[in-house]
Amino acid sequence: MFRKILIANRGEIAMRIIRCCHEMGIDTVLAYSWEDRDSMAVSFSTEAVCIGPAPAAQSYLNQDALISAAKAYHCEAVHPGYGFLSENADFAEACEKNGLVWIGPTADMIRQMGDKQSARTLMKKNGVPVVPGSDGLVADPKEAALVAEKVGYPVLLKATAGGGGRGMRVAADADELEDAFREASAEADAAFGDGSLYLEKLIVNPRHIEVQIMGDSQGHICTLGERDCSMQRRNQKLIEESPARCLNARQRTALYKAALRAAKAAHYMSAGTVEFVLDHSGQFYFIEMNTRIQVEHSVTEMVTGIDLIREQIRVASGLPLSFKQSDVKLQGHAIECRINAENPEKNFAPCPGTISFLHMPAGFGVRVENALYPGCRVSPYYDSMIAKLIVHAPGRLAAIRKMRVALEEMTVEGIDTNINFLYLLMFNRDYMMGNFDTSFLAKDTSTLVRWDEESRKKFGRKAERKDRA
Amino acid sequence: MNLTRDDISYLIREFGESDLSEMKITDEGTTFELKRKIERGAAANAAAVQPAETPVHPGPDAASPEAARPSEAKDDSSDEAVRAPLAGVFYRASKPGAVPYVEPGKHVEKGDIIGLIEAMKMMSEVPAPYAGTVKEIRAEDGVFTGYNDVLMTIVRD
Repeated sequence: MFRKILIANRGEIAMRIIRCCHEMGIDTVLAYSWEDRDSMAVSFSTEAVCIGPAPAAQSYLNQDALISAAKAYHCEAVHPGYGFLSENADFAEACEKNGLVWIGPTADMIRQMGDKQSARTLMKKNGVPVVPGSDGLVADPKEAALVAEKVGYPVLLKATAGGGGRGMRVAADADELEDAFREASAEADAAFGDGSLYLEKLIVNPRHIEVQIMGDSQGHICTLGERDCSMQRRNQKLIEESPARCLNARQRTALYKAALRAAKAAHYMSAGTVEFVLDHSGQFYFIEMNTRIQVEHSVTEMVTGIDLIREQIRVASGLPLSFKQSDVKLQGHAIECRINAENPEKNFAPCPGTISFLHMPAGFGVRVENALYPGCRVSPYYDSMIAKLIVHAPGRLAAIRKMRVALEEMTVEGIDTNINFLYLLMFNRDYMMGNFDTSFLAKDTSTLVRWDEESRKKFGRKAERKDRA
Repeated sequence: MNLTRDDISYLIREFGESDLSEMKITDEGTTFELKRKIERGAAANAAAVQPAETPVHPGPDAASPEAARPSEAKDDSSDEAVRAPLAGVFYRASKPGAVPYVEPGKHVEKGDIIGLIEAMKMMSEVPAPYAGTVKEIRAEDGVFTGYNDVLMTIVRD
């Protein structure tokens, strides 16, 4: 087992990993940016080293500084968390070359799954249903048009080197195809240095269902249930839950089988997620595989009772999985809300600042993951998620009720957050009935936001004058 | 000047949270002054030392850096402290055995090289940010320095 691990991340996931390591008797070295020098993770880590200034490119993405620091502090392994360098195959490889164990899959697995188009091809070869589309890349608009005619419009042109929703364009019909091709390719070239595209049928307003995978170095691979992450705003997940109540038993089994086949095809190791879209006819398709621990791993932990960070560390140190597939049973229902420092009424504009007052909810089946403390600063340099609020209850309605109470109790002052917005969602009829897909927030956000705004309007002449001012 | 009780509380709080050791406000014959002694450095109570790794001969790979917490180094007046522009192993000379770039007492012009920092075999020169005289060298030769750690103090001309 490792004695010392370098954590190349920040915020709530840094705290999560530090806590897990300390529970396992492993010392931690937290690599932080100057901007995060007063963060909670710096205080709690066994040791901490400043590896660069605020901009991520010079700190959290600074491979040389991170590896130098890991070696100087005699770390045996590196945990990259999520985001930043967690899916950077070159960095994973550089760590291994420098005698640092990478806590995640191998660089080759990251590379293979990171190339979206080749991941698709691998899945197709192994009988995993993929979104109908091109066999490999489409070299030009003419080739794209031929494939589009075959699979049917609307279609999506996607960058093979892409991610985060960039380098993608929709073409609703043949007329839009050429422009869509050129724009997507240009954006992909600018963002990822590679303008190569492949084509997929656009699945309209799907649900997003993903399956958690965990593998060890001895060839054991298990599925750990699914998550429904359909509640998304601009391709960013807002609410995640497990299990996915929209699936029937047959669909769930088929999904797990497909995910396992996908993981086995990649000879996968460590934590990973196989992502699918579920269309309105109940058919699911593989879209991509995430070769890292994810933000929403906590949801799966609640329903399975398995500590995924701990498993990652165990597996990286050469130990086998601490459980068998038959040990994995989903109990109850878990929901996670991402708490963001943003103002829903100002089009979700990020709100960095200083937190003047803080109170977190607690109780049976209530879990909060964050790195906040009263007086802490929320930085403009990094993403706006400041906490994760997770609840677990015997059923979905009970979980929603618990989430309502927890959101009522959660108090963050000094910055704007989406707490009230999430609270309103917990009373939304469609959300409660499970009638939502990835288009929900795009359609209904303004109604919810306006409701809150309207409900705070004051009445009387003085108030009206103030409103008009 | 007219200081209310709130003003005084505010000033005391701000002073306490800053890294100043002295503050004096004078206005129309009235002076308000705050002074304190700051504990130097942080290495003593910061990191758990790794017993097995402590080397006999400190060298570039082997030296264990002291994990100083940045907010505890309160006695560096920002006027004199020269901080590491990047994280990496600090070297005082161009190569092992060579004469160090600077020693305490040496005068430097702005831009003169005062040390090197190496990260993954890439050497970066550290230039003097202003002309002055080197007072004290804080960073150790061959030891990893974090970003913004104080390398040395140079008194401005």
